[in-house]
Amino acid sequence: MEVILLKILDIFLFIFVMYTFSVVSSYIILGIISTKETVSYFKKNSFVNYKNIMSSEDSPSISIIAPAYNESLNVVENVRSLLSNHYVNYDVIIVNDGSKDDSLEKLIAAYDLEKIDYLLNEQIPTQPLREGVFKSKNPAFAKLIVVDKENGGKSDALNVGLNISTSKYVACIDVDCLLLEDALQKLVKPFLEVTDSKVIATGGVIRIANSCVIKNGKMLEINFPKKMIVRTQILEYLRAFLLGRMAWSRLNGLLVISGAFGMFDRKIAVDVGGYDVKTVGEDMEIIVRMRRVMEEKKIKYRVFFIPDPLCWTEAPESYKILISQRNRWTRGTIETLKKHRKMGLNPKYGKLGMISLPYWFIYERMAPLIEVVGLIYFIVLIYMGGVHWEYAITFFFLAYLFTVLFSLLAIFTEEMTYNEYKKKGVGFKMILTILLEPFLLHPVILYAAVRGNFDYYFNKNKKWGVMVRTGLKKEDS
Amino acid sequence: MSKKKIVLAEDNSVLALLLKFKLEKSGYDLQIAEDGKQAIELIESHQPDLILTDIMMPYLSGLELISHVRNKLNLETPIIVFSAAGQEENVLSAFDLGATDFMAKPISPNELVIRIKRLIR
Amino acid sequence: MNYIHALENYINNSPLFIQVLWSFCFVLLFIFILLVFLHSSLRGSLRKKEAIKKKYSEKYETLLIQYLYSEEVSEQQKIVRLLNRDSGNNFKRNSIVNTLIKLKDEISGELEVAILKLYDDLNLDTFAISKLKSKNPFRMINGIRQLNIFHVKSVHAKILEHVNHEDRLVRKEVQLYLVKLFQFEGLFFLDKLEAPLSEWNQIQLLEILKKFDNQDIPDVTAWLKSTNKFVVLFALKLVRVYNLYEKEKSLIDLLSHEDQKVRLETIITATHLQQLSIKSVIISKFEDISLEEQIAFLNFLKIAYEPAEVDFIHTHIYHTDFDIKRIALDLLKSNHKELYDSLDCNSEDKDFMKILNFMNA
Repeated sequence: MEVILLKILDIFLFIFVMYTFSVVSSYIILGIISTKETVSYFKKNSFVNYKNIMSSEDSPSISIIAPAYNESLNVVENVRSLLSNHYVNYDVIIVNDGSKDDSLEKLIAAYDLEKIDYLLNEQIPTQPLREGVFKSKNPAFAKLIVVDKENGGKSDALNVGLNISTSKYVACIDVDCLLLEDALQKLVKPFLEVTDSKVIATGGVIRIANSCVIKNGKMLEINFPKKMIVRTQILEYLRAFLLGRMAWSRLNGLLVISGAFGMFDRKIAVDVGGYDVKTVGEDMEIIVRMRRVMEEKKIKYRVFFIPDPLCWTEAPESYKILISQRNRWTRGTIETLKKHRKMGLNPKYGKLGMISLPYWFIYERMAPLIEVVGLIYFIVLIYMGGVHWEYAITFFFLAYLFTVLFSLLAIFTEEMTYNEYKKKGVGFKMILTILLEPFLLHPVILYAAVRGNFDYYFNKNKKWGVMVRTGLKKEDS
Repeated sequence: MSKKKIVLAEDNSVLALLLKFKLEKSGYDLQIAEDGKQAIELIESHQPDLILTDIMMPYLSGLELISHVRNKLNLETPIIVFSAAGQEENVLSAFDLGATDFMAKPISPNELVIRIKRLIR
Repeated sequence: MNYIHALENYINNSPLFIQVLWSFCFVLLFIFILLVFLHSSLRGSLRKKEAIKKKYSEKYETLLIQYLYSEEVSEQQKIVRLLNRDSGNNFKRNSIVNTLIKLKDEISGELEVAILKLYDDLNLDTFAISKLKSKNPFRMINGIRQLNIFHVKSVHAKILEHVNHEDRLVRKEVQLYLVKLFQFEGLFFLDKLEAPLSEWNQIQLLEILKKFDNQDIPDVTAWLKSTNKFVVLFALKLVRVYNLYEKEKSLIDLLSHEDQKVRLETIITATHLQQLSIKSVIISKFEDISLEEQIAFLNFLKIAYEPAEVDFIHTHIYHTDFDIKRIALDLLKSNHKELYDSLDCNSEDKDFMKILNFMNA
């Protein structure tokens, strides 16, 4: 009996060592690819003249689709900022998803809206309209379309937007994000520039706006927040976007475009059936599905990622909200991977099936579980008195140093390119954040991911986590 | 006689500096706003004799500025709009909303002075 | 000292594996500390650089405006001497050039001429021309861009050599230079172009062409027949923007081009010009073309319908595509009221009923 148990523990040890080793090597490879790609993107784009594209009426049409649910507090201001993007040929479709507050009334009053007759081509089935479709009587707001519909959730609202839009491209965003005024030009660029394959979607970096000063829909002052919980998230985002997604974009293996800010070829998005209303991970799911269809049709395609800081959003400032957000992300990932499991390790789906999906499964989906099993294993060992402490401590030390170095690489990439946190003294705070993050943020995220797994399997009725908004800080208004 | 007041809404700093130099030399008092909202504040507080504005501006576009001046403030102040080429549609909307004149970018400062002189004496 | 001694002792007495792990740790720790110092000095130097940049650009902005509005030649000469001295330094030269560019794009008239003259007086073009020989594409781009902005026409031949350069950004800069400085004459690079011409570049070129006073466009027939489909697509845009009605025959040929996008753009172009002769060609093979082309064609009929096409319309009111159905029904209603009224109002087709109800409301 004892012998068998020891054998099992040995096998466990072997698996953990191999897993850790492969994680470390994949991070190193992705990190190197990303850094190179980000710096090269930055260099290439310092020469671009966007002026002609933004003012040309021959530029392709774009619709911004922004679903709004009970956003009465900020909706008028946010729409105003969406209307002032530097691009000629675009419209803004605000989908009021059955809000129970006075969002619609406020929009009607602020933008002089009137109801119009509209023959809706319901290419994607959705919840019915409630008050209908509105446009402004004032030519200054000619770009604005407001749709009022019965509540159906974010995906359903986005689908209504897809049905209404007649543009070539759609930019799906969260209404409470701050989009910088050159966001559309930059996001549409890969669609227009790539000539050897079909670009189906582009996504951008999400930056954290807490503590920043925003005025008139314009970023006036970028500050490094005081709260450690936000600081660690900034670090986490920089690592994920500048070191992770950039590499996957280079390898054409990107599986996620943040729901907060992404652009799609409308026809393709509609043809694959729009957003899935049954998942909480709709932003990842639609990309995987679009890729799947392209693979099945054997069309050469690309998904691009833009490192420019174009979209700023508010990050949770309390652990409770952070945990519920990550819980939701975890369930979204599980649902998407499960729905598309057929493609995993299926050579018919090329790189998508053989590399991206398995990687995502092993290193994103399974990572928290493996970590937890590892912890339990360690505790069992302690209990049995089988821990070689000198090994354990050296391993721990090594892992910590590696994490810290990887974070430092992300910070270096950021400093050498966009260098958004210019103020004096922030450098030291960043290093401090790097050193503390493994102890402060990581356990919370691990916990949230485990909770997500638990809720997914044992608590099916789990509702959407509610994000309590504190509102982007504005200097006036 | 006091100097005629002009409000300019323009986000390129060198161009703003150049026009300020030029117009002040021609005997006008020029106030510069970096964006549409600042321009409205300046218009409300200074009651200018003329407004110059770019169509593409951060936050509050030139079109909204015109609409605000004509409909909310009910002012008849002449407005000259600057626009980059290829924005014919925007220029038409600007006239619909009550713009007085328009100039295509790149701008000739001398021509601008002539047009201003014609509009306010 | 005792601790270090103890540590040394401990490591020396540990198994080899642990020794290796510890040495890894020390290496990583060393790298980390090194990077932390590097990071802080990088931030410091970036901040300093930015401050210096700002200082110089403010200095040159003021000098430039003084130069432009100065009434005395001696003062102007003084400014030129000052700038000339500074232009020997790489950083300062870049700052001067950037200041000139920032103003140059926004103004026209005699001030623009004065800026060009200043660029010339400072001999800045020699620096830009020297970049053309660089192996680094970014340096090349920078050089060509400057030569373009400051109208240096003398290097035309040298730049044309790079029209099929392997780097697409260099190619783009070459095209912009040629078209901006030589207007429609510059377009003849299309004869030589073998590389792709992206949609992005096409729009840029069109925007530049639109700004010229002279709008006498050269003959585009050869480009419509080009073996490079990107050249054909661009030529179609030219036909559309410049209303080249006499290209009807070429358009009909392009309706059977092998590339779907070319065929689609051809229909859109024909729509814009209302070239009625393509209608019969498309109707004859309507079932064989892609849905996108079909919709584009129905959009054409929307503005150029002739009663003789009633049969075609009538057969497509039950088409599976919503847009085609809607346009067909709309045309039927406005041109053949009797036929429209006699339609069966109890169809199984939900979309059909929806459109009918909408139009009857």
